[in-house]
Amino acid sequence: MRPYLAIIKDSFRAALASRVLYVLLGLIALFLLAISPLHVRESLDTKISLDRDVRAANQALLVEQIKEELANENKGMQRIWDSLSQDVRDKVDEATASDSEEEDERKGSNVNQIFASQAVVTELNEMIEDPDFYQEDDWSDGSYSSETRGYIEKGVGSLSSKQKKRLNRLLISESFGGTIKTGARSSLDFFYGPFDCSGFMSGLFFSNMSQGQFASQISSFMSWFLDKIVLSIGLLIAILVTANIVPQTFEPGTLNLLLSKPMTRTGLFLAKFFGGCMFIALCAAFLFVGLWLWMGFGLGVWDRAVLISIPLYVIVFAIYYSVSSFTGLLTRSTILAIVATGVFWASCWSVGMLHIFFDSQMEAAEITQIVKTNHGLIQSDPAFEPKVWSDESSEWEDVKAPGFDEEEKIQRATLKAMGIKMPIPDPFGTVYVESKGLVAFSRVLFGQPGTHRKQQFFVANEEGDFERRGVLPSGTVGMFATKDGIICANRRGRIYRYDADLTFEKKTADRETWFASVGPEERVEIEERQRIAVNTQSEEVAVYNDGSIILYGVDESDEERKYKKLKSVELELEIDSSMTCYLAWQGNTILLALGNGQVMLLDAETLEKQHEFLPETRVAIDSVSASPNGRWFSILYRDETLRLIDANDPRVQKPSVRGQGSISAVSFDASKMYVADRTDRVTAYEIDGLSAGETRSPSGTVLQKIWRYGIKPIYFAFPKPGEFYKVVSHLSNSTDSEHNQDVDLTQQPARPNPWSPLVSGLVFMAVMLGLSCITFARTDY
Amino acid sequence: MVDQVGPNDGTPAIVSDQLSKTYSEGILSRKKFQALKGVSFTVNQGEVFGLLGPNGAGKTTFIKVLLGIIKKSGGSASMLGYPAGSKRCREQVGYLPERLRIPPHLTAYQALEYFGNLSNVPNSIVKAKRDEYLELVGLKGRERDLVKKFSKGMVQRLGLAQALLHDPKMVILDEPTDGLDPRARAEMRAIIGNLADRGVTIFLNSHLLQEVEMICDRVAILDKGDLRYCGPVANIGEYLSGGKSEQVVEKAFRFEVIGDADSLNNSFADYKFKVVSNEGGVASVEVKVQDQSNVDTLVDRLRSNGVSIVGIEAQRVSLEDAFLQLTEVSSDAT
Repeated sequence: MRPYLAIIKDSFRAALASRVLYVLLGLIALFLLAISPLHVRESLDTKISLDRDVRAANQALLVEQIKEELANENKGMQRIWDSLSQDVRDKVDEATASDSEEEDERKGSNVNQIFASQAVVTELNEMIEDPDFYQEDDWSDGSYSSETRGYIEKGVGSLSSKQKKRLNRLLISESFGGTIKTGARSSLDFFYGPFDCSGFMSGLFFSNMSQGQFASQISSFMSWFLDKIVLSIGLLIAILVTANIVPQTFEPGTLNLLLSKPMTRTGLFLAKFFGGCMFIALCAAFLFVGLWLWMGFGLGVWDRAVLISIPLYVIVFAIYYSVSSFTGLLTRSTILAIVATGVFWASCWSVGMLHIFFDSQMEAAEITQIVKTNHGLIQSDPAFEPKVWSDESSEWEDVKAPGFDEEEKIQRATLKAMGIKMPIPDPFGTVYVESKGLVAFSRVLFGQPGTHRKQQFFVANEEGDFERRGVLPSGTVGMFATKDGIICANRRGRIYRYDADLTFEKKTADRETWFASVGPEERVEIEERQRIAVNTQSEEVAVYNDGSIILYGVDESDEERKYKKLKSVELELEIDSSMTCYLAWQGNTILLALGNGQVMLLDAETLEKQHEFLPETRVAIDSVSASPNGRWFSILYRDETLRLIDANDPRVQKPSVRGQGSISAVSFDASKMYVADRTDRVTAYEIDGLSAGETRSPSGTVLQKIWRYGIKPIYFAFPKPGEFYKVVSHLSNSTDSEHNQDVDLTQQPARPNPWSPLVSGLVFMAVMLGLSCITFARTDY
Repeated sequence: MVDQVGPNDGTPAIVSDQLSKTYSEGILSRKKFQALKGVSFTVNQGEVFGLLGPNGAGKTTFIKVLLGIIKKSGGSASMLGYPAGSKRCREQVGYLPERLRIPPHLTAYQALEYFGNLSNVPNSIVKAKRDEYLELVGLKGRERDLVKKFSKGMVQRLGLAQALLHDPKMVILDEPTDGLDPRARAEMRAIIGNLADRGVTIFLNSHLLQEVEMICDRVAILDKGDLRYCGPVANIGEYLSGGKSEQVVEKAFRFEVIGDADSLNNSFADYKFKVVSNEGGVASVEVKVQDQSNVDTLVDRLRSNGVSIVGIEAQRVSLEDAFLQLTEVSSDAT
């Protein structure tokens, strides 16, 4: 080892002698010195942020609450109302005028209310700044929190300016009855040395936030900063300063002496290579440890991702350096070594960009829904435009539905080319009611302005041609087929049933709906499509809300066959109410899957938990479905793998179906399971025995072929130094490796195989070093 | 001072048997150049051996093959009983390459530490020996100076010191005095002589014939990849006259004679001759002849022309003469 260590040591001596190391370390020290005075101090939280302190669903309701509280003669709210400017009061009046709930749901838009709420919050923050805002008479009738009472009892006159603002903040929050959260007691202020720069910083990145929120923001900012800024600039410098190490070895009078020494050429080359890497590792360690200490002491965030970055980013450098060394060995030219490294970087970048482009294109064409109908197999892509399988052409063809106008076509084509997948809100489709041969889907147009786009509703006639039937009710979160009809449910828990016989005096289908409200009286909020499941054989509906399962059924005694609440059970789940949840219900079994990975089977009669599984600890669930006979339940994961649960033999199995790892949709009919994989291929399996049956596989577009046989294999084999942040992120989150029931995996960024960049990078580096060693060993000098 | 090397165990220092090397050049390696053409000779331990040849004769190629810097194309070679180029043989050999370059950022001490470590010598031993070696090569007092401040001669001497750090049994010196001034050359010769006295085998590659003649026991002469001669320097004349070489080689004789100019001219007319001196009536004439019968004929002619012969002396063939003759003939032949 001694000869090789001597070469590594000499690399440092050479770097020290050339002053490169001093210059680099000096620059790093200057950078650290420049940022070190920036620090945070915790202070009282005195600001209201609409996004942070008011739940999204309640933002529009804020103005209505003002009116309600005024009607209830809330003195505090009266004080607030009096302090609002006339302009804002007019906005509130305007936004809260008219419209019964029914009317509001059908056609109302809450845009005006959100605008008014924003204006109110702006003025509320101005009121907080007013030291004389608190007047004893105005706030004498409230039951306040202990913190508020503490300030009042202490005497407003003795409070500091900051405490007065905090008191104002608390009084306002409490006047809104908790709609505006009182927030954490403390928030963070930014200082550069003795100077308060909170205003500047909040304008740049941060709004008024707690330590926890700040830690989360600064961690994600640092991973971006390290990956995009430090790595880019650092890599460039590192390549420039190390490119001459190998070519220098070949200078006349140097190489012959080295080769005459009792050591192997492989060892000699690798020692030179690692000498360069160690030199960079020293600089990287200095920079990253400095950043880590600054973040810890100055910002109070001890982010281990920064430390983990040291070895990983040295490996990134080593990948590039292996190219530089190989070129230096072949050509003995420093300039060519730098040029070759630049070309390699450009190649990596190009392959990465091509992969992103093709991946988004493929995802935009990926099947997300499959439905077997009497008109054939119908699939939908993320834009939810249904396509039907044609045996004649062996291709997916657009269903016969009213087309788009030119403007919409251009918008769709543009957005699709950019990889933007779907309009907002998500359209629904396709649903199929077997007993009536009813096929329907909904469509949302990009062209419609504003955030409140209508869901256009289409139903197929006997020939399979789709016709427009108005719009879905406002706020619809899901559309489902039942035993003999189509229902949909909105965010407020109201259920609507499709009635084909409805007629309208004005043929303004754009504003009318063929769906009639069918209760239920007792409703719960339905936040997402996944939180509702319909038993297609019984018309019953299950809803998950805040740890409870509520079942609704049709009241047969009611003339309008309205829905009524059948039962509800609070499940003993120690999870956050906002945890993502997936429901599927067929037969006598309800499957409940949670964002943390837990999967449960419940008895639909008693709502008792029968079985609980934890199939995957680290991969988020994407969707669940059930076979009509209630025996099979499917769980599709974000890594596009499929698991099945047999209700008769409750255990999780990974079925041997085609395309595990590229499965994008699963559905069942009475006898078959349909699995979509590899973008647009659908294979039917017998539901009993899972024997593969007919496959619908279109020949594929040119783009798909380039993707499948070109980009994908190249990307797989090519090093991905630009994706090492995924490894850092993966390693820095220790909860990944074990199940943590508080972590909602669906809220975390998708990380398909975080080790892939590391493995491909190390393999590439090994190949380059192997080629270099073979070349060096076989060449006469 | 430098340790004595171990006892000579009889193993030859170098054995070269039909060693050949062909370089491939050009696209697809179609152009071939034969640098060594079946070279065979042996160097014994403890010898000071010189390898001579004009530029491009294959001297450096031969050394590189011995050290494993390039691979042989045919034949075999060994050093100190180990295959040439093997790690074991490199462990026992010190090497001073032609146009040595020592990293300029190192001091003399650091350079010895660096190259000593490369030869697997621990720092403790380097530290124990470095002053002794620097003194040996005349660099005492410059230990902490950077190499970039050294003259070419000093770099060569430091190169020699690094070649000795691991107490090698043999030292290969490739043009060690190239580019040095006369004083530096003399110093280098003295150092080599010192090493030879301690039993270190010296393999000297040089085109400076006087030096080789002065310090080498035996020499080998290479020309265009062929071995022209291998043997003691003193025997080269005998070799040339012994007809071992295929070429016809002239011998020089000095005649001390008394006679007039015409008589002398008539007597030497058929031979190459040169009047070296003419003092006190005795002329000293150097004549080139091919064999002894020519000498007898010349004596007869001188006597018949009335010239008195004071003395006849056969001239010893100098290394330079032999070198020129051997390489010249081969050039003519080609």
